[in-house]
Amino acid sequence: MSRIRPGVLAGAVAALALALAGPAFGHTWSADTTATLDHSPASAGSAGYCTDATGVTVVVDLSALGGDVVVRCDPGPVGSGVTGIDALQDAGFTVSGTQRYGLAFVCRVQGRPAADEALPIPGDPTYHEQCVDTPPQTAFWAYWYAPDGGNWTYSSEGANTHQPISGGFEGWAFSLGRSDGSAAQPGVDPTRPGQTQPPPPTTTVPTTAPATTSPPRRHHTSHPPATSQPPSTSPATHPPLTTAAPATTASPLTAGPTLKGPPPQPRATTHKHRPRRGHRAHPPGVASSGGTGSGTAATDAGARVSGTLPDSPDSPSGSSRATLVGLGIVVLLGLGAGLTAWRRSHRP
Amino acid sequence: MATLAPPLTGPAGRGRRPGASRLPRALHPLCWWLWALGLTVAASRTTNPLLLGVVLGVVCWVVVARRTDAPWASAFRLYVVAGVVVVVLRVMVRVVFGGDQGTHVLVAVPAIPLPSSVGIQLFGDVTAESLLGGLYDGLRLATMLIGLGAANALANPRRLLRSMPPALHEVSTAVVVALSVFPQLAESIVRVTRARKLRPGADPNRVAAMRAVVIPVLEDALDRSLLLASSMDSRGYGRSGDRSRRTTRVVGTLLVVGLAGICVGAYAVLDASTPRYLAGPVLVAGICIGVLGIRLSGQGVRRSAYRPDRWRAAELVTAGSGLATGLLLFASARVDPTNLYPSLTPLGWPQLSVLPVLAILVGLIPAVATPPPVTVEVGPR
Repeated sequence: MSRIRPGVLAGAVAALALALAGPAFGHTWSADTTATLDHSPASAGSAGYCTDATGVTVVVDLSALGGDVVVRCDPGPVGSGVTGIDALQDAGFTVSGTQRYGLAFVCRVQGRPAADEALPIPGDPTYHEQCVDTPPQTAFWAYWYAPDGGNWTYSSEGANTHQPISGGFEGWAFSLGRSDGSAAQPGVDPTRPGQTQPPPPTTTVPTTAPATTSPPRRHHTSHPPATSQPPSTSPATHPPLTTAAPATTASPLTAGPTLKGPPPQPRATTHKHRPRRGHRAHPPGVASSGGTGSGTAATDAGARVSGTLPDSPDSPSGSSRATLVGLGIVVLLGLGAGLTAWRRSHRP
Repeated sequence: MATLAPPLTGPAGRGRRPGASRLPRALHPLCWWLWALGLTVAASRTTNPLLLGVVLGVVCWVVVARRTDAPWASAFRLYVVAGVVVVVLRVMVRVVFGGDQGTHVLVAVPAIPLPSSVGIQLFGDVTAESLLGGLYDGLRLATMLIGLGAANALANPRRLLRSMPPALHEVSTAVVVALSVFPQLAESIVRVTRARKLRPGADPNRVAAMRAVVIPVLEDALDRSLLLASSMDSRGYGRSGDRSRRTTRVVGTLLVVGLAGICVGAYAVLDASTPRYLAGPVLVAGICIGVLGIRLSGQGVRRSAYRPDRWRAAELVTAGSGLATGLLLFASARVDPTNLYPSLTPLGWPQLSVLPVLAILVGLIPAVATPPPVTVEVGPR
């Protein structure tokens, strides 16, 4: 009977340990780029709307997650090969894709929803987004675009292939708990406020007010947005990559005098405010105040429009040192196994 | 049949540890399966390469510490090889089909454009993101594979068959035969290759050597199967007693439907993206139907066992440690899920959390807390 050579096993263990170590070394030469990526929010883009026609204004609506509507400007220019993901990143946001498909599916923007954030979706009140596979239809980032002064259009193309409109808008709205398969629309209208200054970052804006105030509007009901904007039968059910965008071009919203234009008035009437959290929005891991997360309720609530990036809860805080410690544990286990095998085979 | 007590070796004989519990003995095979399944479940809940590495280390340690010289034990390294192949294949697939994903380019490779209707492209820049994506994914699968290999290496399949409840014999016979085919083939390959090497004038031609190995191995496997079948036949396996044909059919249907339900339900429980109504209800229904089938089937069968395996402290510790690992990691997916799935975009260093690591290290207990295995003294030293 062949006694098993322990060397084979020890070798296999060592090979696996090496295979694990490989990526760590891979990281070392990319570590500085990672670092810059992490710190890019401080440098990339600028707060508020773009002031010229070369930039792309990026709107990220975190209101479904209990955050602000963040408006930032990617200074552009939009050349060929520039994608929605680029615009999002150049405006200063961090973007996470899924593990299986990379950035073909945007899973987190600015770290939200965080891995430890409970999302109330139909069928699972404590869903945690792990960004392994395609996010569910009831908790995903909806991707919209619009020309300046136009309408939000649900993108039929993935953000990693769609080219933003120069001077236009890119909109990201987190769609939470909509069981009818519709997608949330960004909470501000896609119109640049002339050449005036960007909106004061702390102003409170009722995101739904425009629906009732802006006169020339065919779809009166369409703006607690998105519930009807992409027709609910349309396959807006998937995050970006699906085909067949709902043709929202019909709605004549182009008249454009929007409330976002000149510095908006703080309205006292918008009461479902979430408690103010100061300027920096969320501490990591604050669960969205679930109640408002379902249906259209989220958009009924006023959300603050801000130009400041909220802290990203998922900014990889850990260092390479912690990874090396983990690697040390693995190597120790491998050595232990090898030693055990050696002792068993050399027993007198 | 290494289990049937040829000369024994082991530290217990020299009184290194007092107490009769350290006498070498084989553990109940079911406890090894429970332990390995617990670790496999743990591995299925994460793609963190560090955590998976800890699982691998624990599994390998316990296997090298507690396996016997039996043929099925020597198959473990084949599972390890299969795991390495899985990882390599996954990474290769990412290189071929997953180019241009991510920003950290390691090797610049031109892409081969395909018509956009195909929806994919060949090659493209090899990025750290896509390589690591393949590695994380493949490592998880490899770890689960090696976990099952550990169960096969540690548990004696024949004793496993014996310790099944009598009513399950009809199903478990097939399962055990299927499970033991791979280890038996592996052992045959090792034996035939060694015999071929010992023969003078071995043919250096690889293809001819292949033929010289494959045919004896297949013949060997067939012989063993027939041997196993006849020995099982002589022990009364596959005998349905004096049941009517109708009862047999009903029992068979119940067992198969129950097993299918358990499979679907277990899959849905483990895979978070499956609809929830497939998880609990189907699992419970499958278990109920299966138990009903077992009860019906057990009525007609009576068997006795010679020296039945008993559950003693070491067995309970082993099974408990594996189950604890699985449950703790299952729980940590709810409590502290931050580091279970390390982010690739943006690229970040995989981190370890304390709870999952401790949970997995619990699985190491059998390496020290169980009695040493029964081994055969091989030749003079």
